[in-house]
Amino acid sequence: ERADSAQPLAFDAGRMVLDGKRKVRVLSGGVEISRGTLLLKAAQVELKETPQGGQFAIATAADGQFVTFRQKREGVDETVEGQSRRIEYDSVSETVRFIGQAQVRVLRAGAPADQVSGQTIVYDHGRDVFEVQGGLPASTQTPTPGAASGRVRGVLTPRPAGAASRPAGADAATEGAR
Amino acid sequence: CGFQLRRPPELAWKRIFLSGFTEDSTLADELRRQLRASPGVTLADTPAEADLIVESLQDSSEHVVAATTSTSQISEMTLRARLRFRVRTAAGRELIAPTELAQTRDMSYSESSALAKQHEAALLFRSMHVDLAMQVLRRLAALGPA
Amino acid sequence: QEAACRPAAPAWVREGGLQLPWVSPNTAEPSADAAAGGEDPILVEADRLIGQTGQSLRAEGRATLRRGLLSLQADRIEYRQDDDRVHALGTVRLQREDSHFLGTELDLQTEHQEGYFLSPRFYLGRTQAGGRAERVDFIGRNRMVVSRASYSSCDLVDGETPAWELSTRRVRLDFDANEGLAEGAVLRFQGVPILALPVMSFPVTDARKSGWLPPMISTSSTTGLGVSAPYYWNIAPEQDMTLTPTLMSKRGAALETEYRYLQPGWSGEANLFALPNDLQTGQQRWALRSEQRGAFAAAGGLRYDWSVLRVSDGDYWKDGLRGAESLTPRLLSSRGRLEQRRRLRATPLGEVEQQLYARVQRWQLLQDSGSSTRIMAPYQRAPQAGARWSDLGGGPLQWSLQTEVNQFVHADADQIQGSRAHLLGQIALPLGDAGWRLTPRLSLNSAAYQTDRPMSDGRRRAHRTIPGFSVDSAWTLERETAAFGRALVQTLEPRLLYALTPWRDQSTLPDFDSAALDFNATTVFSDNIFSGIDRVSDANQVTAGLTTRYLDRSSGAELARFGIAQRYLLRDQRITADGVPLSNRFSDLLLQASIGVVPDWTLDTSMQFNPDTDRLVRTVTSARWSPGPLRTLYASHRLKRGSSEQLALGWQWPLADLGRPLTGLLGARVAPAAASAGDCRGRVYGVGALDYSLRDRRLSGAIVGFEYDAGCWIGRVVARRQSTSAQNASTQLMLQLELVGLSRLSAGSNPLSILKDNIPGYQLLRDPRGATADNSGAP
Repeated sequence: ERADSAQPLAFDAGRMVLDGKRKVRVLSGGVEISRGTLLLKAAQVELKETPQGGQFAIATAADGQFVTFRQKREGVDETVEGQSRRIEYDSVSETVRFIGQAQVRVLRAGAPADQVSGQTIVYDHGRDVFEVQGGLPASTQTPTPGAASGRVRGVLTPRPAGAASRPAGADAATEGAR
Repeated sequence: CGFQLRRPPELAWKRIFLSGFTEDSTLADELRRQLRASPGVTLADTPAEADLIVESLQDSSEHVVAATTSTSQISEMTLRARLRFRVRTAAGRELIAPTELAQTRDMSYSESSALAKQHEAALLFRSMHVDLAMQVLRRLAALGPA
Repeated sequence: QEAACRPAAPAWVREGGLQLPWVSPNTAEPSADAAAGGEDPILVEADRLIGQTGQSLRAEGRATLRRGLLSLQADRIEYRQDDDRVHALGTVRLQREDSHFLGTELDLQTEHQEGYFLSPRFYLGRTQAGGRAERVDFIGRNRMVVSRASYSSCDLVDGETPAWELSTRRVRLDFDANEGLAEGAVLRFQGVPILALPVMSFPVTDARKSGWLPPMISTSSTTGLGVSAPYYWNIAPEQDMTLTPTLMSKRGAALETEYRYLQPGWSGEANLFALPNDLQTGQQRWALRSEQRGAFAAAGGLRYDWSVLRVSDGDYWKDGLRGAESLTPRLLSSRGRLEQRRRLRATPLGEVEQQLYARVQRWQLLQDSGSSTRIMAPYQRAPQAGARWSDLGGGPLQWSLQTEVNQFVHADADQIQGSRAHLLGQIALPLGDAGWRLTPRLSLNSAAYQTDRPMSDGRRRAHRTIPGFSVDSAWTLERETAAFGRALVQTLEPRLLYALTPWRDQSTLPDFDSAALDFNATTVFSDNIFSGIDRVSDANQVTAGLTTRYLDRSSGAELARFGIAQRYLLRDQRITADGVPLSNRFSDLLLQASIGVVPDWTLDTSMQFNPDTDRLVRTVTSARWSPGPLRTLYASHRLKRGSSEQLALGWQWPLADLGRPLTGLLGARVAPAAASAGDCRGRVYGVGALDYSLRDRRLSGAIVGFEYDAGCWIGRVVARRQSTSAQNASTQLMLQLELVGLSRLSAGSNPLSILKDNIPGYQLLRDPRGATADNSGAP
């Protein structure tokens, strides 16, 4: 939601190590980073201060596991869920970068409605815009199960006629997406 | 020279149902007569009661003109009895794939004795149907047990 | 083996097949379960996706979109969720069930499938035809409007005019109502406009649809140049009609109506060919045919049928007019039957089959006004009523009893007429089993006559009763053998029949329905040498026969059969066909063989050999080779010593090589790749049947035809020569153009019915039911 931008970034982890030389905090042992309705879970997260005063997190999952992301959408009873091998989150630009077998779902009233998957997904949760890229040919990346090399997929559920699909008064944001 | 009397064929299938034949088919009458005469075989009234279903796909008696005189009168006709049939178990397993049997007889013709020629054609068709029915029975006898 | 012809979809459809491997709704792909509720999900795949969550999605780079049976491929696809619209740009390829489109821009609402498509090429799988258009507007799932379109089932190659093309201002296609309505339509064949209609309707599915059937042009020595344009009118699901207006240069204008009706309890056809004013004879000429059959379910299996065929005058058959097609062109049969077959259960003799029947049989004999020889007409049964009871088999006794009453009428007043009541009974006691059978049989033929004028002995009433006795014994011997490389069973079936029938004088009695049977391998084993009831020959004779068959040991199929039979008279036969008592003891020898061992080949021959003159009296030999669909050769030779010798040929064969130059000529471009199996573009088929009389060195009947299959149209030329008298014959030439995808061809239309009735094994190039030919197994 929009209100999340005003929230501080809180994190909870098993262990935390301060690497003074690189000015990086490394959290591990089951990390949860939250900011309002935003929640990110990973096996290990590297947190770094950004020059603009925000945080830059690099979350990676244990072998065979996925880093998961969830956030409620502004003004509608829908949540965005995502997962990938590795997530990079910049709290200033509010962009979440899912890398490696990335999948982002929109749950409408709890049931999965739309879903996109590909190599990398860049989700700007401030402007509620995402971009899915096929990334490098399959040889260098483990391809998303079933997708042709370098291809991305999306599944949309047509809205029942007349269902509100965007918060009132948020038209400005969509124009930017084109 | 190795010939011996033919033993009565023990049909492995006891209850047989004929399907697909029209009510007035003389071929079906002959087939029923020969099936009843084979030892141990009974004719089922409905497919459910039968172990074996002999299904007729085409049972036709055709007249084809074989020779005409110079004044378009018919001097010779070929009579063709044709049966295309399939045999399957009541459960639907196909034992004999669709097969066509045909018999032909030649008959001279003259318009003046049209009534007599109707009787003669009936006699020839009955003889062909006896032969076709015998061939169907031989094929049923060649079927192994279930 | 080549399959029968199947039209191929155009190249751009075949190559552009949309492959969406991962998109199969039934796999447990995660993408599938993401769909909430029962709605068809929209599945998108591309090189890149950009979207506003929950609102829009833009796919770029070989983008594909699929929803239900709608699938789309383009360079760029944008989908807006709130109004469910898809917008596609670049080479846009759309497939909707079996219709394909290829164009530059598409805008479509995916749920109700409304929208437009700019400058598409389209191909409709259901009619196997398509074309180009300026714009297609989709209206719902099964309707669309195509503007300024060219429509054809031929391959549309840029820069070349297709063999035929229907160019229209607008075409409305409604697959639900199975109708294509073209406005401002111009039909061009080889670039020449042959039809221009403000509004023209054509079928879009293969269901029955009113519309014009292919026109037919014919020339004949008796009717001159003829053009007929049949119109099929689908009145209602249970009845339809074909109206065929025909213009004949020598005869004038005629209308043929064929009306068919189908009800739950009864069905039938009625045809009327009417030529109001025959230019040559100045009279009205007509031919009427009516056939109907039905059953009264309530009355316990009472069935009826009638078949009436009448024509206006005796020369109708000579003048090549339509509507009176009959097996015997000179003798037109009209009959009615009412029959009931029932099984009587509780009778003293066990189960009995009872058959009650009443029939009427009338004839119209067409005397030839031109020639002196007059044909004797057969008697008419007006009416015939009777009953027949017989055993149902399985019991020890075989018996049957038939009683019948007939009123015989003759067209020629000075022929004796009258009524006859007769009774036919027979009872037999079959002994033995499958290997050996002995069947003594008693029979009875008793008839009473009442004639309208005195018989030759002055009496007007007479009756006679003739008993008969016969003993039929048959053995069946078998042995296992091998021949032609197959495990066989050879049977040896000797048969001996003794028949004893006392002499009863029948010379003074009228002969209404009896005539001498042909002498062949079947009739040699019948007690009476006459067919019918009126004549019973006296007999004290023995008939011996031997048949051997070769059967396939595993399937029991009969591969070959050889038979020989002869009759020996123990006493002269006094009642014979020509009235002269028969005294030579040995009859002619009958030989018969039929061989089906070689796959696709069937050979049949039967011969009658006279031992006294040491010469063949009669032979019939025929061979048929049908190695595959649309390929059959048939030949037969018939000899009746001293009276006729006839050679007959029949064929249907693809003349592959002849097709190539003809195709180049007609400009139907045949890409070499297209000439694969199953695709018959550019192939010519020779069809025909010849009847040659060797004695008078004359072709008594000939049909020769060519069918050219250009893929999207079929041209048919059939020439027919029929002898109408010793000196002259009528010749007919018919041309027919069938535009595949535009007109539905009913198999019954001339000249197809001529080919089907006279060429054994003839098959349609495009079988309306799409049944592929399968070969007949061993006989």
